[in-house]
Amino acid sequence: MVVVGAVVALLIVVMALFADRLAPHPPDDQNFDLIEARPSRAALLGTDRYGRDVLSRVMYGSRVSLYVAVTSTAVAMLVGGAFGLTAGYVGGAWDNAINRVMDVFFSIPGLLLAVGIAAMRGPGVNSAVVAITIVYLPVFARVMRGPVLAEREKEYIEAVRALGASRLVVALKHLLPNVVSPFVVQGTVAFSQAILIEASLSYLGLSAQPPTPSWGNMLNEGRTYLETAPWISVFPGIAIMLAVLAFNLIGDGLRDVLDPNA
Amino acid sequence: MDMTRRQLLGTAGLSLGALSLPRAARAQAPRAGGPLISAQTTEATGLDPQLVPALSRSRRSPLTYNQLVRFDPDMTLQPELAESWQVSPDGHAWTFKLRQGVKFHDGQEFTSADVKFTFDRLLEKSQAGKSDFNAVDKIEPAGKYGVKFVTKEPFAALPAALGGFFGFIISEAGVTKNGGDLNKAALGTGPFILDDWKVEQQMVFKRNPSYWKKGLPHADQLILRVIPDEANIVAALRTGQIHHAFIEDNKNYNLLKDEKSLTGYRSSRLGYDYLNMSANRGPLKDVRVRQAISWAVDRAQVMRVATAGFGRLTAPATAPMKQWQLPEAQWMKYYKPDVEKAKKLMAEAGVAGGFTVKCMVIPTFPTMVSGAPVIAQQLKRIGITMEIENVEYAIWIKRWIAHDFDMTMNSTPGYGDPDVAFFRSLHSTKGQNWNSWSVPELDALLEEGRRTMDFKKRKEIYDKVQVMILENVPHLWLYSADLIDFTQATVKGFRQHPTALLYGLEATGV
Amino acid sequence: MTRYLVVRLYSMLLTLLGLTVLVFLMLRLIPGTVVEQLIGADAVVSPAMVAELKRFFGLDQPWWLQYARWLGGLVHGDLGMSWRTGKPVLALILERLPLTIELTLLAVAFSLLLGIPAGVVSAARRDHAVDNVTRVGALLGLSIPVFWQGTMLILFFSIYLRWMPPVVWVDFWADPKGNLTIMALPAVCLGTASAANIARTTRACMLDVLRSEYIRTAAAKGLTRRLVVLKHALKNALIPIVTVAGLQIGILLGGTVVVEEVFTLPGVGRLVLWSIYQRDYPLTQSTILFVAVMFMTINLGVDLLYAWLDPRIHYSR
Repeated sequence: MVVVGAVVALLIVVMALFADRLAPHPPDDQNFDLIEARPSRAALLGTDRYGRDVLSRVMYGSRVSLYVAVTSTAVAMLVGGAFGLTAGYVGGAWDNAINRVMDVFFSIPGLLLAVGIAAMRGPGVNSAVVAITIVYLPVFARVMRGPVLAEREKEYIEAVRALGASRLVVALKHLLPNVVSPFVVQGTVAFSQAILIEASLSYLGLSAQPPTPSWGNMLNEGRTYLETAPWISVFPGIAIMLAVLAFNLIGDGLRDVLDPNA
Repeated sequence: MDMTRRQLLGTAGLSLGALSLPRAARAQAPRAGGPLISAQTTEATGLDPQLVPALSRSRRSPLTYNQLVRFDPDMTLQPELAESWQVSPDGHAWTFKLRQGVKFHDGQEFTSADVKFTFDRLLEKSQAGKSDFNAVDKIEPAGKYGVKFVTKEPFAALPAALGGFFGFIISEAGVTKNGGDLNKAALGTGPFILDDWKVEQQMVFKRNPSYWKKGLPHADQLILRVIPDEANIVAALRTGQIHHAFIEDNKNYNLLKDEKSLTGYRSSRLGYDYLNMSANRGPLKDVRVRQAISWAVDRAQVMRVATAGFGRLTAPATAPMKQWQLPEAQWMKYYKPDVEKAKKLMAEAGVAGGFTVKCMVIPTFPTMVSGAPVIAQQLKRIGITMEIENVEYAIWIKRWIAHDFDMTMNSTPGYGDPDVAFFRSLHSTKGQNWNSWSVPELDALLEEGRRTMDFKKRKEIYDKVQVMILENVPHLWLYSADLIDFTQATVKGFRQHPTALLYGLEATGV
Repeated sequence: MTRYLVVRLYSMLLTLLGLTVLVFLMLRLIPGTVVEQLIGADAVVSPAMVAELKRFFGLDQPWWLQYARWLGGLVHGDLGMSWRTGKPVLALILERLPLTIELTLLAVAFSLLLGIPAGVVSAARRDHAVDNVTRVGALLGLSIPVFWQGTMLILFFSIYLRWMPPVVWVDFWADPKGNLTIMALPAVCLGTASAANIARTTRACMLDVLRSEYIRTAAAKGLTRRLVVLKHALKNALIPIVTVAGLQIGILLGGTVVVEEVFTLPGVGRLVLWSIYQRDYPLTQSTILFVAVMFMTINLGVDLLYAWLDPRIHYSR
């Protein structure tokens, strides 16, 4: 299963990286002789109302999905992780302050928070990045803080400290490696969910804006053609599902290896 | 009594005959009853017939209000609350004789005081509405049932303006009663009385029992539902859950036109979609560049994508403005795409290498969204890179008012009279001048047209105006989407109106 | 217990205070105000008119004063008046709240009814075909975008089965059958991911318990497999399952915003989005706050329930 997931994920990443070489047409190339054409040899996944090639748009659409998911997850992991590490290791007032701020973000359901932030920032890919980052940041802070709290009481940490290592060195060199597993597992889960949230935002018109193709906004555009040209919305949907599934499978596999207790 | 075979056949034949009668004949006898349920995708932002300029408001205003005069579906002016009118010999005053015995929803009688109150409030408070009546100096009651509009200069378009989107008659009592705010309430002389309004869900109207048009309205109750997703409106029509719907996405006409249980209506719209350009920005300053853009854009393709082919290309005066139409041959020649000519003009203007412009689009306006990429592709052929900027409605308005854009996709409900249509948008100093341009000859013509009462002379002037517009390209008239409505086949008496205003519902019965 | 509750409530209050600042400031950072919304496109606008409208909505005052006013109202239980509708915010929320709650509850019910049996069967028949199908199904359930599932279901029902739920929302109490026909598809879409989560949790917990000593003893005593699985194992696995389910309620509450958009249901989620687009500050601010209170209360309830189910837990952070 994990292997299947990894292969699919790899294919999607390759598709995103080399979309310009792999796609049969540029994504916004209009062909007025081939409007809303069903899948055929000329257009494998059919065309949309401008005669644009759905396959090419699905391929280019993967760029938006992956860009948003990678950026937001990475930033949230870095910043959230740093907050969690600080809160857990330094403790005291820092812990308290960070926790309070995180609580504020935890007080609204995640998806509503994402939609709200994106709507307030105005539509755009970067709004999606900001929204998803803000939703995930406290999650990562919390996932980091818990194990750090438990770990810092352990003897070996005290020992290293006694040897005169600075707090920063202790935190990064000794603490971090011992608490990183659940954090990474959470990262893969978050990554696949980020793809889903981005798609939702796109679908609501809050992420990538047409004519830039993204899976979510293709679905939205295709929605009004469900009866006459279902292929416009069916294929981007399948793409989303495959991508999320692939990264979920990898997450499951990682969990079994890194964090067997969870 | 047993029915003989022949009688049976006879009645069957009769009913078949009735079914095959032309639509107009069938529609003659709507019965009273209700509720009549109508659906649309957009909610009204507010109901004040003077302060809210949005079409969603204007469409609903005829349900609760009347104007002094109103445009028939064939765009000729008909008496409404005014029975007749005439202009003074010097052209400086219009006198209207008012209909007697008309009552507002609160029972008060409609008189000249209400007309004065209406237009005093409009001129004082409504920046949007005022520009329809810029030439009006003051309103003087002439007895209880007469009213005189005194104008600063001869103003030929006054009756047309009165039949426009800002001509609905309100009463002072109605304003006072609602604390000065007419956005959530409506107190007029119209066929329906607003009963209840759940925002983004539905408005419920009840029949005005003392409506001055005898026997109208037919429906006891009218429910206007907001169903934001037009796919659901299509489904609701098919399953008989609503009686009438105004279809905004024209490709849905294909989905419904063959349904036996529905009656489809399709006609030319007064409004049109256009591409606005700021004539004071970069290369767009040069008329040759704007001309090049006009030659490069294939309007038929834009129309085909945006309206699924249910529309038509249009001169500055659209098809329903029949008496102001230019002969088709005269304007169509400007719309024949000619990339070579466009490139040549670009070269003459010194921008053969092309340039980049930004074009605003409001994501929630389907025709803007769908038309823009087609234009972008077409402009690429002459080296112009048109970047599409998706701008949320609130921000779009802010920038529109500030004239802060290179280009924008746009759409208008249209105007009944060429003065109202062109003066405000194109006069460089006295109008709004959305294109930030200046053509002094055009300004002079527009002013002359406003002062000229004789129809033949006016027509000559506006023919010239239209050609001048086509030559100088302040914006591109792209197309006029057809107006599409569907009703259940059982619904009688519905008529479309080129403005898309809901005038037709007062005579509609289920 | 009381002390724990007091501490939690106190921290909730602090959080809410932080949230008010956050939401208030974020709203003020969006370009455009309600004034542009009201003016509309075709308008001729004088600066005087803009100024008058700004004054009318109190937008001419410094932000801290606007904030203080809002907060002052909140303290007195006044959520304010919506600018675009002229109605009290609380009334607007209460009008739409039943739908959102109903949608959430139906989705929870769906996910429990599907998730728990699936998880139990999957665990009991580990590595059999049923187990594999359930596991893949659960993964798919986690991967399918809500809105796409919704679109596909609508496509399937309306075009291939020629069936369509009523398009106009009806209240449950006015027409229960009509209401449930409308809500069925949205609830299924909303609940799918949760069902998958619950199935996975149930399976994992059941496997844990089934491995444990006393279950083996019970089996050794000759009790039927069915009895062992259902009575002994499921009972013990139920605590973590309930916790996961409880947490799902909160997540589902957030999910309603998307589902309500897709199915155009007039619920609280769409109210929030609409109010943001309309720049109806009082409506956005107070509705978000309201949802936050609900969300935090649910989570507190889940914690308390968990503590009650498992007395070993400590009441500390």
